[in-house]
Amino acid sequence: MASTAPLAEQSLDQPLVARPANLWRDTLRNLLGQRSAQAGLVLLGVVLLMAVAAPILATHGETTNMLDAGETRATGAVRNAAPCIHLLGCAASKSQHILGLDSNLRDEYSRVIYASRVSLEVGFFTVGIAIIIGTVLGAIAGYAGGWADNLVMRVMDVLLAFPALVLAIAIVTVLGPSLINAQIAVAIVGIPVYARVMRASVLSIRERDFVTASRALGASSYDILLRRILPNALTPLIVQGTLGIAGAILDVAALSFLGLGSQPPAADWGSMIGDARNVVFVAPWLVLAPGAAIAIMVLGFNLLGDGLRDALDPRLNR
Amino acid sequence: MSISELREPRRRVGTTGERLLDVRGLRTSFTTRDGVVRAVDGIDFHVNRGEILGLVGESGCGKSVTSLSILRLIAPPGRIEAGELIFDGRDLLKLDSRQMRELRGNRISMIFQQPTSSLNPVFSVGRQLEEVLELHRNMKRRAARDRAAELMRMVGIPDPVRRLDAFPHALSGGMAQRVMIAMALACEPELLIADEPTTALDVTTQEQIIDLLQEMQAEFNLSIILITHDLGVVARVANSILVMYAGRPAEFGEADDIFYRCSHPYTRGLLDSVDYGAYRPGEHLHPIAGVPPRLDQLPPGCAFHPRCLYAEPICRDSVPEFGRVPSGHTVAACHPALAGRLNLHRAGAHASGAREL
Ligand SMILES: Nc1ncnc2c1ncn2[C@@H]1O[C@H](COP(=O)(O)OP(=O)(O)OP(=O)(O)O)[C@@H](O)[C@H]1O
Ligand code: SF4
Ligand SMILES: [Mg+2]
Repeated sequence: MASTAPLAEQSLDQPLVARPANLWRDTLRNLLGQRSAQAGLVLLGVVLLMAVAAPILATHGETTNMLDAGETRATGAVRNAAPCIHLLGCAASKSQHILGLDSNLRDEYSRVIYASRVSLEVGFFTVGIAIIIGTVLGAIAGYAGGWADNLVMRVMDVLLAFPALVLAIAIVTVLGPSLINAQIAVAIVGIPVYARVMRASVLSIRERDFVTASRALGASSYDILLRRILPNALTPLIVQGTLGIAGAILDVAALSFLGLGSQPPAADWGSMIGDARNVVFVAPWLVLAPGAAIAIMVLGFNLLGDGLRDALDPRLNR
Repeated sequence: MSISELREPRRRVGTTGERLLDVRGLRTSFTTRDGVVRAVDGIDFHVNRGEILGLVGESGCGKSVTSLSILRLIAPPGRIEAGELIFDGRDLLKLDSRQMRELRGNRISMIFQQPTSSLNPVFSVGRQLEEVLELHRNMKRRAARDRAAELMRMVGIPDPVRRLDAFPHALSGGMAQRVMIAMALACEPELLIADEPTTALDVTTQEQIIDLLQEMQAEFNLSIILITHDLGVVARVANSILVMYAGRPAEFGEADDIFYRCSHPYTRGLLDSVDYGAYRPGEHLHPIAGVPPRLDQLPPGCAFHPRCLYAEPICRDSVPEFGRVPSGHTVAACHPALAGRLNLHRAGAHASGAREL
């Protein structure tokens, strides 16, 4: 051995890094070094803060009618009341409502804050379900091949053949309108995307040299699927999932807008826009505020997803 | 010829003569759109314990398919049609898939041409070494890690403990191949199949890897099937040699017999077309004219006959048996050689001894 070791030292391509490489730390560092990911994380941080600190940030209850809270017409408790901010010159006799009141005399600002919780939960739950089912189906299709592949993928094709929202509406109509059913519907609609991503990954990764090499060293199919293929397929799944959260939130919001998702009196950005659609010219803030909130969140997830796509490529690690 | 310089007498390791692997009549085919391709058609050879078998032949002659067949890693549409693979007294083709899995990486290992892509990109090399040990040796994580570092040191990786945490993309080709060798040898297998282990590496690194393989062979009394295009390497390390042509065996024998007393025109052609890294003015290389045939369009009779300078009418009509030549030196598939009408022992005989058909 003594004879080969010094030679080997010379043939090293790269100097040893000071700290041993760590995939997750490298990924995090790559992620934090990117503009789009930084912006995405800031936007999502805002939403997360809203959700976590909602009771502190909100000035009123989520569902409290201002008449019940002791306000009167005289203090400005009217339907679709305009924003009243004392600092900006709103009369001191009126009570302060940063984003005004909605048609049920509830504080719009507080509702926007509380609704962030719904949207976050909707995003993660919906995409979580879709990813889990989609990944399993895609793995089966890609790894088993043959009739199993055909069966799974033809069902996915059928799901994909319908416009997503139309299909979701149909599913909710069958299940009955409620937030949870809206999420299930959107999750079902999302499954084919993840199944396809996973199947494609399995098909390409199973042909890679390292899979043959691990087989030659005695790995079982189970080992191959779980320890070789899945970890390598994770990158596109995570990226797709992050981007998918944005879409899922929009879809559930759309269902809520149509009255098929979140049910009154709970606050949800989608249904808030839906409720205010008739007064969009009279009280545009009632549409703009939850609309902006959705935009921030969707943009945040999209930017983060783009950043993740680049950061998770191990070849980019330095 | 510089073969003599390369073939210094070597220390024989292990119980010489004890058969470790006996391949008989192996036939592997692939079903393609254009029909069935016999990638390997009736290969016979054996590997003794502690010895290196060199497997040579032009690109596409079925070397990789042969080695993957031994491990039963031929995936559909490929199929092992016939043959026996007697490894340590048992026919591998009769084992069930679980038994076969236990054998792979444990008693028979394999390394490949592209070392970097043979490693899983998302795990550290240490983790991958540990996995092999956990798989076959039921080692616990800690013990496996210590052993992994030891293995890395054994294959000549500097600073092995820190290297355990390196990811494959951070390794040079030579380092990655060393890691692959460490993984392949982790469970001290009896047979290592090395499919062109140095083709993707630069010349200096090639030498080091071959040296390493030879060291490991001596240390573990390991048998190696070394697939390579490099006859110089074969001349240096192999105990026996199998020459393949178009999915069939051309000649098999002790390395010295192949190099000094070969009987098959194709072997002669191969030997005369290589400069063994020591070309001298006045010596001439004689490349074999023509290209190997496509496997789905094999010429009738001896598949080599369109390129063979010794071809006789019978060569076009019937496929030669793979049998012992009268001189007794090697086993060859060639009509005139089997009839004792051919003497190719002289270097350059393939070109200078040309006869008209
Ligand atoms: N998956 C496959 N499907 C169809 N035919 C195949 C397949 N794999 C191999 N073959 C056939 O087997 C033949 C031998 O291939 P093999 O890879 O064993 O050649 P080789 O001797 O290893 O060549 P090289 O020196 O280029 O590695 C090929 O020419 C090809 O026709
Ligand atoms: S059998 Fe005939 S064609 Fe084939 S190698 Fe021998 S002499 Fe040449
Ligand atoms: Mg090959």
